[in-house]
Amino acid sequence: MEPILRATAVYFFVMIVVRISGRRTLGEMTSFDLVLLLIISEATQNAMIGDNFSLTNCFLVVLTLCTLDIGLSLLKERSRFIDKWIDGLPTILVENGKPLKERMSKARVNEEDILEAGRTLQGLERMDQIKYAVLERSGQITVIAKPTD
Amino acid sequence: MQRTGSLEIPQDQKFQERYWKLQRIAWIGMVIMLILAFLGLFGSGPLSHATIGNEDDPLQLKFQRFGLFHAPTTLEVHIGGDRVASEETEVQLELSRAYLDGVQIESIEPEPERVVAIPGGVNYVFLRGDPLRSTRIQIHLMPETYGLLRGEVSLKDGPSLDFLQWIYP
Repeated sequence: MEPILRATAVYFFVMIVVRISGRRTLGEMTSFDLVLLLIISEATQNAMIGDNFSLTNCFLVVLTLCTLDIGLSLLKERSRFIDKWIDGLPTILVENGKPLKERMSKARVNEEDILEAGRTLQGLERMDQIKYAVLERSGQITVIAKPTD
Repeated sequence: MQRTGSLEIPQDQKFQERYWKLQRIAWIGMVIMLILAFLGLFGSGPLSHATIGNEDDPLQLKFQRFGLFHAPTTLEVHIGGDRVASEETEVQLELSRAYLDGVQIESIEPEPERVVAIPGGVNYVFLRGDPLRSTRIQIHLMPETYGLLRGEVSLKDGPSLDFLQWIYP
């Protein structure tokens, strides 16, 4: 019973902390975020496994995590409310070339980030070429270019 | 599907504002938790450090109020010197069964001469070099359960101290 409880506790704790930290923290991965991810996985591993190094324990932990994930995805499918709170909603950050400053600061995205996304995704050069920039649920910024005349 | 401008996007600015507000509150909560942890709410630190009895009492106990499951912690027992010089060079320290059931003793410093099982607990018998001077005994142990742990240390035919520890899972 214990590995199941431990894995469940770790799953929900990490989910809540990552969600609180916001999309920018783990969504758009910078090289340091990768380091952070490694440290988090290392720190949670011991608590999930405990001092029980049996195969059964390992299987139970993996089984628990995957089952929770499936369960949660089914729940999200059914309830809009849970879906919103767990995965969030996309947010428009730039509308018709105009950056929405207040939203951007709350989402911790700056104009550089948007221009970078514009360059990598669409080959855009300036803010006024962007029709929409959206902070997606995954933490990625997507850009839609203004149609060129 | 909702539309914002020409974008088909499920945007909900009211929810988003609420989420952002909650997120800032949660950040403060995270910092508060870390400060509390620093102060010892989840283990060693000033909030956790507890002492029962005085330095010159026959029996004094120092322990951590908050412990962690499977993490080492120490009970420090201070045994005062006898006012009247006695020939007796043995100190008999008793630990309650209920407490011993919840922990695993890793080591005792100094090592007891003998360990005697008695009803309701275990009696550790130590040799004492100088009965006039006080002695300190450290019991290093690891909690094996979580929740509230009730313990009792006592000197044989002497004072006894009750203590409570909270063990986090």
